[in-house]
Amino acid sequence: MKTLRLASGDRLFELAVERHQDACDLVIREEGEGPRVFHASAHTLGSRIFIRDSAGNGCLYAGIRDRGGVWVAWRGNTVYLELAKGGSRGIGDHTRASEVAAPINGRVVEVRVTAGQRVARGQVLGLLEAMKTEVRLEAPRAAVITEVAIAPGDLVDLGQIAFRLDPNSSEELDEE
Amino acid sequence: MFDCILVANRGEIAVRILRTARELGVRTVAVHSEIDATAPHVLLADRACCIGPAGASDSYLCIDKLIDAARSHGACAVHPGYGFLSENADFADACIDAGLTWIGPGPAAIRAMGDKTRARAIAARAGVASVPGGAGLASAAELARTAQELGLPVLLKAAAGGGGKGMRRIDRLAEVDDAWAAARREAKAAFGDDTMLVEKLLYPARHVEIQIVADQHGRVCAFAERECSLQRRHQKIIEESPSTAVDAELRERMQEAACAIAREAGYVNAGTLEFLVDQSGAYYFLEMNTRLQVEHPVTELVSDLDLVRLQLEIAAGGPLSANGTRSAPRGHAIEARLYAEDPERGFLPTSGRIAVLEWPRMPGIRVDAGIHEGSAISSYYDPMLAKIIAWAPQREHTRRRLVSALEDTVVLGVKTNQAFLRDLLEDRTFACGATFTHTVEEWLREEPPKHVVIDDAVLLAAALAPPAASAGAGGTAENRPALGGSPDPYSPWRTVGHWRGLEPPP
Repeated sequence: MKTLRLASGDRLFELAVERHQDACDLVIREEGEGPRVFHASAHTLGSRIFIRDSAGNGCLYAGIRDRGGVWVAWRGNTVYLELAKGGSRGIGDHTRASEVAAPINGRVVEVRVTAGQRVARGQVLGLLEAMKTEVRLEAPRAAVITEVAIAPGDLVDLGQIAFRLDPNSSEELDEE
Repeated sequence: MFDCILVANRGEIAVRILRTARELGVRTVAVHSEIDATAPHVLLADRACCIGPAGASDSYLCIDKLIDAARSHGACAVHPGYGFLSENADFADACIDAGLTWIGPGPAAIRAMGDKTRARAIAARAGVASVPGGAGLASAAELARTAQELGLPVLLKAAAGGGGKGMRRIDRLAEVDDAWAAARREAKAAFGDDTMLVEKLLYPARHVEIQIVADQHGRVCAFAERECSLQRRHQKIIEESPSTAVDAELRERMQEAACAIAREAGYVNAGTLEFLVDQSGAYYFLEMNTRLQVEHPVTELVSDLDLVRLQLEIAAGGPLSANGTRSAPRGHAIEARLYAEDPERGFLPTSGRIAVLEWPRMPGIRVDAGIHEGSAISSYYDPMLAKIIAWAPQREHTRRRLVSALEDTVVLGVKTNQAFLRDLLEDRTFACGATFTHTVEEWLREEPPKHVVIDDAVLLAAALAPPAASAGAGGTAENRPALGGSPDPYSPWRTVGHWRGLEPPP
């Protein structure tokens, strides 16, 4: 039985499905909790997945897996569960972030900090312009800037590292 | 009517215009950048012409390339859509000089109404009051002085602006310097012009606009108002017609004001007069949009008219059948704009590839979309993916219908504002019609978008989800979903879902 490790925010799931005709047992191991089993009937057609739980409640989902994770949509909601690599924490855990990446393709308008500078959580480190709108790059935590990897006028891609932070500088500076 | 037109745009509006042209039996030419070679608007046109690389300034904004494309494919008229060059008088001039008919207002009217200072003067001559303020500014110091005279809060605007670009709200004098620098920078980037002006911020106020059409024979016709108060950072999100704040008497006065301004400007073709309406029912002219607007479908649904068709007929010299104000709107229409953006991350624009796409199909629902399954959403262009528009006899019925349509919409592969739109429509404030220009920002402060609860059934759906057909290494024919992700075997999206060239690239 194949297991799938998915992360959403700070939750991490390990999933294994056992299929018996139309019924499924989903074994869920969630970080910090004991294993549990979800039993339901399920029908799939392409990317459409219909699930009816043991109480009789049904819901139609749409789902698709890509390289980085799984998209699931239902009743106007859409989530992306990221494929978790062994042992790594889920995305969205900023408390130990050691870098600030560009959240979008854009042009660097302004850089407001220099290497070695101490910054507070939420402080604006630089400005990007994307689709004619300014996007702020903010410090995810209090830290010391160890590297400024962008300069005004640079074109940056989504995910490109813009600033690096001292990995050990958080506790001493973060007073919250 | 024209024999062949070129649509100088992309996305949903290009698709929208091409559909009407086809219906009228007009042949069509689409233009596209290199990354848009299989975009929906290209697949819909009779002819298509690549006009350059992805960046808009090298393709959709190149006047020479667009004129060449029109000439070499035999188009005799050009429709600019909205955005890009639609309010660029030089483009209109260039089309006319090249012997092409410009489907829009004359260059002189575009120039006059595009300059906010001149537009205010035209409104004044037509006897219509504008929002207090409006003088040009030379420096941050002058801005601070004028802001104090008008009384805070004020709104700093780009004279050449639109769509919320180059615009900043100023609540305290301490914000003046930052706002001045940022707004000018944005204005320079968006319009190549950083002339600024400042207006008093009316609060609380509603954004109400009047669609007009004017023919070449002196007839001007106004439609029922659209209310577009629900905005985030001056970008409209939800629009409706009629407005809950406008009664028949106010509607008629605003329609008369709109017609008077259009006549004073010598305006021809479709345009929109934007007003702010305060709580006493007084209205102030804000600006004119000299083009077809994003939210034009709500007007079409309550008036049973095709505005693009009217635009083509007017440009071809045809007369309007009506003159002056129009009768009451028929029923109620609400539009929601679906954007590729992530409300949970400060509404940052998102990008990716649409892996699964399903639109609602039910009575009273219209979808104007510029994407199909397989579309790549890049950060090169506007992040609006589609508009979902509902119509019903009464407002509450329309609202519920649109909520239901949003619940039936599926977009996988790119994060969108879909759930945010649904929640906004479900909120009591919207349900009771108390919509003001500050409503969305206030609502976001009180109820910031939160992560949806992932229950065990969602996890089961995730575990059963098939691999995407185009998800890189795994994308072989064998493990591609049998129905291309769509349960409807006759859906046109199926045929374009995994669109590829027949020959491998050299």
